[in-house]
Amino acid sequence: MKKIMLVDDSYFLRESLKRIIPKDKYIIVGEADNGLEALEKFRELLPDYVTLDIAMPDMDGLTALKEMLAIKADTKIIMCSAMGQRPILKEALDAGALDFIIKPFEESKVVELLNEIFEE
Amino acid sequence: MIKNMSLKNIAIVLFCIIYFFFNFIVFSIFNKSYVEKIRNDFLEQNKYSLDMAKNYIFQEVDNMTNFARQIADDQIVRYAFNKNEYISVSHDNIDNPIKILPLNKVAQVKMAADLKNRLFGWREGKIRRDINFYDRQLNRMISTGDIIERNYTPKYLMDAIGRGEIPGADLGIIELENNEIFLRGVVPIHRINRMGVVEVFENINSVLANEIKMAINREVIIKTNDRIVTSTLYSGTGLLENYKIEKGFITNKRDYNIIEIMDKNIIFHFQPLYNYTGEKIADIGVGFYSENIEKIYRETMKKIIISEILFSIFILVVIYLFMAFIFEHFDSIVQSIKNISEGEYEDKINISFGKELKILSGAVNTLSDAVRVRENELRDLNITLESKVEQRTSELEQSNNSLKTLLDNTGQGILFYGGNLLVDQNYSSECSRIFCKEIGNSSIDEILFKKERDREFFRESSISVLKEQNKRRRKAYLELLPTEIEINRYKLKIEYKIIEAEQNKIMLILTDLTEIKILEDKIKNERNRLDMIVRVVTNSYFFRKMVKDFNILIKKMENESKIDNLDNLLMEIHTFKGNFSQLRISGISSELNRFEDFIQSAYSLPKSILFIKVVERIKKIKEVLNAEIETIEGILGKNYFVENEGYFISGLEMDAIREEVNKAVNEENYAAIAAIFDKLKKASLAEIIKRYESYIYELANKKGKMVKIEVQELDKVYIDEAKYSLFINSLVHIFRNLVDHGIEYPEERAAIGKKEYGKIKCTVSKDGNKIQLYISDDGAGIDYKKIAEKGISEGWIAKEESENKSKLLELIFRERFSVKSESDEISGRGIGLSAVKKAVESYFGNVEVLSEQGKGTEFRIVIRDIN
Repeated sequence: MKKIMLVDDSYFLRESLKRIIPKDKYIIVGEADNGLEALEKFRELLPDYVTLDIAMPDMDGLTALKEMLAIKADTKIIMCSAMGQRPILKEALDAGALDFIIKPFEESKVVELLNEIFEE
Repeated sequence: MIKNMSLKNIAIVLFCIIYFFFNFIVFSIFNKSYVEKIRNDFLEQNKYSLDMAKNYIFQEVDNMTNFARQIADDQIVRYAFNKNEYISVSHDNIDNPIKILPLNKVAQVKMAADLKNRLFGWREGKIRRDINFYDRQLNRMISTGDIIERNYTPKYLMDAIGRGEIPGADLGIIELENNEIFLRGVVPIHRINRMGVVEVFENINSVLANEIKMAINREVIIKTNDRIVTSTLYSGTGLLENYKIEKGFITNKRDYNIIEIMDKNIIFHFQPLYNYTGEKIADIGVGFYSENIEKIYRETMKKIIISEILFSIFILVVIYLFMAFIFEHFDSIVQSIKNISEGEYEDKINISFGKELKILSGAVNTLSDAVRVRENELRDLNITLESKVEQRTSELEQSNNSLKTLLDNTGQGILFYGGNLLVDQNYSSECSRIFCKEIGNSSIDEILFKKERDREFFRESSISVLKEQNKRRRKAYLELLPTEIEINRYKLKIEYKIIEAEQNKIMLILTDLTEIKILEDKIKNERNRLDMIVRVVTNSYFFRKMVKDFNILIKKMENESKIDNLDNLLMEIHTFKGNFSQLRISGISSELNRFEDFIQSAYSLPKSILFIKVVERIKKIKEVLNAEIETIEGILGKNYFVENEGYFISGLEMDAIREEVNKAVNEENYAAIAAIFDKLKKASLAEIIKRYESYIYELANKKGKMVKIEVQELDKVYIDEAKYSLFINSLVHIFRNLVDHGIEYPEERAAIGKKEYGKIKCTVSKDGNKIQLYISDDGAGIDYKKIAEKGISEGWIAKEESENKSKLLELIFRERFSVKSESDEISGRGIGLSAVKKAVESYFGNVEVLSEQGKGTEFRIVIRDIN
């Protein structure tokens, strides 16, 4: 069982993810709706996986990503972004993110992704 | 610099240094002893003369002594051996040395004078040969003949006697006897000796002068007890010079001494002089100028140096030639090596001299042969290699050709590129077609994109893909690459695959979607057309009415005078546009949109010009409209407007029928029929509203928003569509407003806890003769701030009024009020809500707006039932 934390400023999205995350593999240890809160909780919880939205108030996803990886470099972080944010996604991958999903996402694809990542 | 000097030169320089250094040491050592040797030799040579001088002196002294004895025996001269005896001497002829003569006065005087001369001359600093010397007084005495017998000691005698230096000299008595002067005196023996020596010296002088005429600057000195007694300088010319030594210093006590005489250093070799009895009288020395020695020394040294130099030059030349000889051979070795390096192996060196050179030249010859052999080997190997390469190249070409054939048959554009971002030479021919050129070795980013930003992103992402080790991240990077692109007007789909060969490469697959896209567009167009047809059919009455009304409008516009009120015109056009688009008659609604643009910019034009332009545009509009109608008729049949499943009866006709029925039927029955007539003529407001549903959904979709529409019929309200057409048509603006401004995007809604679907609720109710239509949404509400900003900037309200909600709400109904900066086909021109207000007011109604930020907006429309 791996620890996962959900970070997105959209309540709706977090709820959606919560619904579809495979419960036999992941425990949702925390949620955050902005970058700063996310970092605080990250330091506390030190999850293995994080879903991380890009556009957030207080601290955007890219900065949060870098900070998180600085704290625990082997964290597997999946970026969530709306359409048309390719350059930022590339930056995120360069900075150490593992993969990304594009909103609105297809539930089946996200489940598949999470299952695959768990195995790796 | 020293490192680059020729060896020859180095050898010579070294040799010179050592040689001269060596000579310098030798010379210094040699110098002193040599000088001494010269001197000794010189002395040796002159010893002869010294001995000779000595011998003469002794001889003469002996002679003189004997002679003196003889004289003593003659009673005139008494010669004694000790200083206490006396002797008188006389002679009469000065030229004639010591001669025994009878004394006469004059003679005595003369003799005395002479004696004095000889005796004391040296004491006076010079030796005078003054034979005419007279003592004046004595002379007077003699000349006057006044000789008295008295003890007159002439001065010179007094000198002789009285001086301390001459102890016991006692010559004082001059006796006159028989006119003869007798001179009696005493002469100490040593003086005699001295005198004699002087005499001898004179003899020696002459002798020596004669014999040693060739001697240069010799001097003979007699000295006693380190004091010089007398000296005579001989000059080389034979002239005799006697001079007195003022001072002389004995500088060292060896056999020879260096005495400074008249500022000249003279080296003397002294030997003791003994008298007859073995008593040392004096030292006798032969001296010669040290200058001479120096001179000889110098001259000899000169000779030595010259010969040394000549010898050195000789040696140097010899060495130089020797070295040149060696290095000549050296040159031939160098030349041979050069030949080898240039590939000539034939000439062999043959050196016959020098072991080392021979060995070296032998080695070079061996090298020459070895290199030749190796070269041949290499050539053979090279030939083999080349043939192998040829073979491999042709094999490779073959496999490349197969690959190419494969690629070309896929019908897709396939290419490969690696980390250098250059397209591989093997690509499918489809690529050449797409890119309209050969793309081998081109930069992939340059051929795909025009903008530098896109190129950069593609480059960096490709490189990230190739560099990434983690499979998942690599896939993620790959997904970032664009999947659609347009090149040379070809619309293409791009797929990417990673090829993991020895170096990672990316395979790009381009599929031409142009055909597909064209098809898709066609389908879309077809679908739109179908959609249009369906709507036209379902709303056929509405449609026909609209066309009719529109034609009326056009006719109006063709009348110049009706173009006075552009605002009204704009409003009507706007409404028609909305309605046409609702029915999907997009051609005309686009055209009307353009017309609207034109009118909005035409306010400043003078009427005549405006009219001309309007006429032009009307023509176009009519064309478009006719085209659309043709399309419709094309499907529905030419007589669609005429024939129908149903009858088309105008309202007037209907009224006429009704009248007739009314006349024909009694009142009770008429009521039921009247209701049917009513129903025929009227439609329920709720149904009418429902018609907007699909339009609203469409609108929302276009905007990327999600809506749900609810029409709630609290009361059944039937209205005569014809009568209320203006009102009904204007409702579209409210719906547009709600979708555009009111309802938020699904994400935004979700973020604030709303359902993603915005809800638009329409409530129809009746209150007496008032028809109430409430249209609301649960969206963002009116942005009072934006309205205030716009109001202030346009000068419609004062700054103080910016908080007054009701005032702000009034503004939205203003003509040309819009917070949007750009207008599009849907909204933004600021016409919509004002049209609504106008419409409502024309039915003696009013419209109210309630809005709460974040919660939603409600339009409350109340109109009078004018049935």
